[in-house]
Amino acid sequence: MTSPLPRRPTWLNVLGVVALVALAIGAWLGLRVSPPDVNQGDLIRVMYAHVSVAWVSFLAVGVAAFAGIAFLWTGKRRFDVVSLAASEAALLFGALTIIGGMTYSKPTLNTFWTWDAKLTLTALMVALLAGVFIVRGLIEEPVRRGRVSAVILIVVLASLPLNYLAAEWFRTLHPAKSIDLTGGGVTMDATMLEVLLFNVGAAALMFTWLLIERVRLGLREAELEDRRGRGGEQAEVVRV
Amino acid sequence: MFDGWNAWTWVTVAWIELVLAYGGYLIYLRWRAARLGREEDER
Amino acid sequence: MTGRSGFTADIRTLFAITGKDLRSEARSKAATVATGFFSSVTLVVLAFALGRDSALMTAAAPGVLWVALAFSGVISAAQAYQSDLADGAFEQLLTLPIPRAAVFLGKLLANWLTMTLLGAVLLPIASVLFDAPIGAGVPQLLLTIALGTLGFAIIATFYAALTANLQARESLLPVLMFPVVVPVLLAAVRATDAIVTGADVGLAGDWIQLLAGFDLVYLVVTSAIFHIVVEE
Repeated sequence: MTSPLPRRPTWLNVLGVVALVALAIGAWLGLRVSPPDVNQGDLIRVMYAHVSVAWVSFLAVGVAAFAGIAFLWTGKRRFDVVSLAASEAALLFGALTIIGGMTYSKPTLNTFWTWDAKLTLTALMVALLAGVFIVRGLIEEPVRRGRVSAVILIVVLASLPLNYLAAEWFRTLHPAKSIDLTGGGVTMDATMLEVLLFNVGAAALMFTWLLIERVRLGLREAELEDRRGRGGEQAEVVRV
Repeated sequence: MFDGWNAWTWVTVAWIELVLAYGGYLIYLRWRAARLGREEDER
Repeated sequence: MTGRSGFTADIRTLFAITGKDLRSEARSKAATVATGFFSSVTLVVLAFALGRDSALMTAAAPGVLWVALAFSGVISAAQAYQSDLADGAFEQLLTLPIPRAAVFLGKLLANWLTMTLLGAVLLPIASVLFDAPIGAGVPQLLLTIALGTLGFAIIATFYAALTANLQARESLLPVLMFPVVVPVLLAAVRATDAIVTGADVGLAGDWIQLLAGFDLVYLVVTSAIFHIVVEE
């Protein structure tokens, strides 16, 4: 059986390698080059892994929402494919952020959950994204499916700044222990900031690579679904 | 259970989470591509 | 839709839809009974549960009030569309040449009015049950209830239309709504708490402003995209 994805473009392979290498360099920077923090010691190295994926998760949601808007505007199926791919990535990076946040807060604050604004926002975002996938699973017709999920993503996007405010005010005005898990409460010297930014860049590269891979796959799935639809057969498994 | 962990254990766990997440998603992509291949071959 | 007469006609249509929803609710009382029952049970059960520690009870009063409101809101939102769908009235409504936004806002207004009324009724009951005197803060509390239930009603009306049109199960509505509505409820509880404890006037004002922000943003966004939710 032939490989299901023939004709892999070279640039995609290059992108994948570059992304993985950047990830490795970022890890090395975070684990070796960065000095330990004044307060948190070596635990600061958790922050690099956690904060970098957090920013990218919100980037992914933005991409998903704007791709959805593009689909509403143009009706071109490929935008819906991008929206779905970015939603999957947002779910991946979001879940990773939450788990990483727990990995950060347990040793530093001795609790698995704090009502940190960014973490709370991410948790809400992940819950909202789950809703997108549930709804997508319920709609068989591709155009309608894309339009409804775009609508939900617009609501998700609109919710983010307000939810952040609510979570931030809740945290700062709430008499519970918490440190700023965004890494901003940590007094960062120049080296640490550079390491963080590099890791954010590496995570963004990973997101871009995974997104393109998923979009390539999604375009072929969409094509198959359309073919089946025209033939009158049940567009079954390749949906979503 | 977590009390015995020192800082570097936590750091290792955090970075392994990254590896597992990215690796897991790549595996998911491969699985999905294989499924697509089967679906296409069925026609 | 041209000129002022078109706009006026749309507004009248909007109110007509609100009136229809309110009247059919007054007649059937289905949602009223359910919400009345649920909110009473919530208040009483939690009053019992927290009854031992009077300080805890007083502190929990704002949260309990909004939990009761939220439960009731979800129930009545789901029911509002079910009765419409059952006799095909909703589809008929959509075939008429009225802007979708008017349908949405009309239903929203009906939901909001009933929720605010419920809130105004629950407020003194909660105050007594939970030993949380509301004294001079009543106007601000009513404002908070109005703004909070508005945000809730916007989200509920929007998602109820979505799930009803998908012919999804009623259980899907709370799953979709919950993450959107939680921050709004949070702001409402915080505002209520600030008013009741009376400590910091500025604090209550901040949370009320945030509530107003939620309401404005969600109202604009959902009104603009509602027509996509109900298209065939």
